[in-house]
Amino acid sequence: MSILLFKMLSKEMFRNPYAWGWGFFFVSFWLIMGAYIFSIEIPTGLPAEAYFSYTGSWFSMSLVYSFSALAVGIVNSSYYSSFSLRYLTKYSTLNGKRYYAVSLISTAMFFMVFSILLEVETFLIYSFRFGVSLAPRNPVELALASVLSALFIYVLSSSIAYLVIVLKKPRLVTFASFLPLVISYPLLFLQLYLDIGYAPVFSPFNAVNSLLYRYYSGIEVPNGPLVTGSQASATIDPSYFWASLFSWIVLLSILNVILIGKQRGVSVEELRQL
Amino acid sequence: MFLNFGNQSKRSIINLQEEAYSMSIRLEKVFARYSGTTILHNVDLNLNGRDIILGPNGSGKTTLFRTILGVNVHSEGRIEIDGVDVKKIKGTAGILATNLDEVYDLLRIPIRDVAKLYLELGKGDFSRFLSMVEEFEAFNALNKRLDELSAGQRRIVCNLIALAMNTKYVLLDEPFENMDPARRVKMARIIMDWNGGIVMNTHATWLLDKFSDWQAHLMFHGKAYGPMKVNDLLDARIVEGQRENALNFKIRERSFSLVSGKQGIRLTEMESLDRLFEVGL
Repeated sequence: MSILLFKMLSKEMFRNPYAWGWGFFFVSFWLIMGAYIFSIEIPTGLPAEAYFSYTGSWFSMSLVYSFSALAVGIVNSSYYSSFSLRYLTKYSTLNGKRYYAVSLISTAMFFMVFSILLEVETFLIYSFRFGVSLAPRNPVELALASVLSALFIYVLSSSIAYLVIVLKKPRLVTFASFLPLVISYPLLFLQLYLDIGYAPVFSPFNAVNSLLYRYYSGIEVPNGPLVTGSQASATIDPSYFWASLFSWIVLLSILNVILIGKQRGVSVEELRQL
Repeated sequence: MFLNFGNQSKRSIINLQEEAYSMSIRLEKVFARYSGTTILHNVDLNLNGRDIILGPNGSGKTTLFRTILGVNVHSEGRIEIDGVDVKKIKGTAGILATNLDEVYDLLRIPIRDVAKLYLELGKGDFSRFLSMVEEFEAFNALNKRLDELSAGQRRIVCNLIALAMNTKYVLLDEPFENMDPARRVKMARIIMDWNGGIVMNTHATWLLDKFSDWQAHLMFHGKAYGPMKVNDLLDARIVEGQRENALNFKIRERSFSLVSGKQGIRLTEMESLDRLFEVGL
């Protein structure tokens, strides 16, 4: 039963043209902009570290934006399927925890595909642009960081959706679905250009960004603006980011399981209020 | 065809009757509302599985089904399915299925996959679903998503998934709506011959004579009236004003009565109870 559910959930995600459009093609456009437009002032012949830092920051930010764009779809589909889920958890063998677990795994797998595609794309485009091989330096850790990032985005998006349902605020759903995207933009730019100390450790979006940057570029995350890259005098230990992200996922998962149990679904009448 | 009880003892027949009595969907003093608007007002119903809820559009029939399902609607009062409080039902396949569209909205995938998933989760019968789809010549609907189907096709596939669930009770919301006449007749035949409990709601009165041995409940403005035998409704007429010893109800502050005799409009001739809003009787 779980396998069939996994298969159907994956089928839905992989066939979603909006996910491919916003999560992959739109982000690919920005990766190309990063390589060819925003890098005009970067001279050739710099040490490889400089190119790795630049490429790593573009990759990490692109992946966070890609996942945040996919989050819009997760919030909406969680919201619109809440009635069915409530029905199935009462009158079928499906229970909320199992649905949540299967959904989490299938989403993580879907996000991993996007992550691998963007990784390969970044490597090819930026290596070609700078004439240096810019393959990810810690691919295994990078893959693990991508999985954790995917899990975080999923738990965050579904808790936003179920919170809207439980609080019975249907008008908020469109705004709420863009929250991950809206929050991630300023937070990532803050980290890129300003010294915000240890704040990135506590902000899950920045923790994701930092881990992806760290393992793509192989450069320690500076305790200061990310643009300083390898020039930074102080760095932040990546284990802090892992711990922070893991804690966020656990906390939001607990919240989700509670909210799934409490939600009573959204009827067609309530959806019409949108 | 007659049922042959063979050597079955009188005692076991009585037990069967008692069991049949205890098997029902019961609502006691039920109020239901969405975001502050009360839709159902003090509804008492005892549904035994051969029931028609008859009422015009907007009378609260669909809300009644959602309330029975215990999904989405905020309700007060007691709702029991076979003696079990509906609020306590969790993860139990085989009790209740419905054809409400929003139930099948879990994933945006083709209907074939939706049916396969729901029938596996609900321990239903996928091959039975496919054979009914074949009977309705609706195979082309299987490769489309629910939102891509016409209203009539959507109604057919939701009816068929609900029926193929093999549950004790099936709640069918307007099961003939938007269907062409040939398919309406086919659907009516399947429902008439169905081997389990069915509660259907409708505003159509043309079908009453097909279900003459069923139990009917009228519903107007969120209030339930009845029960009565459908057979007794076949000759019933609706007149304006309140009559003694008749079933009286109100629609938009106008009183109507359901009477026997020759005055008024015959219920079955109205085609749909929505006409109560249109005609000044």
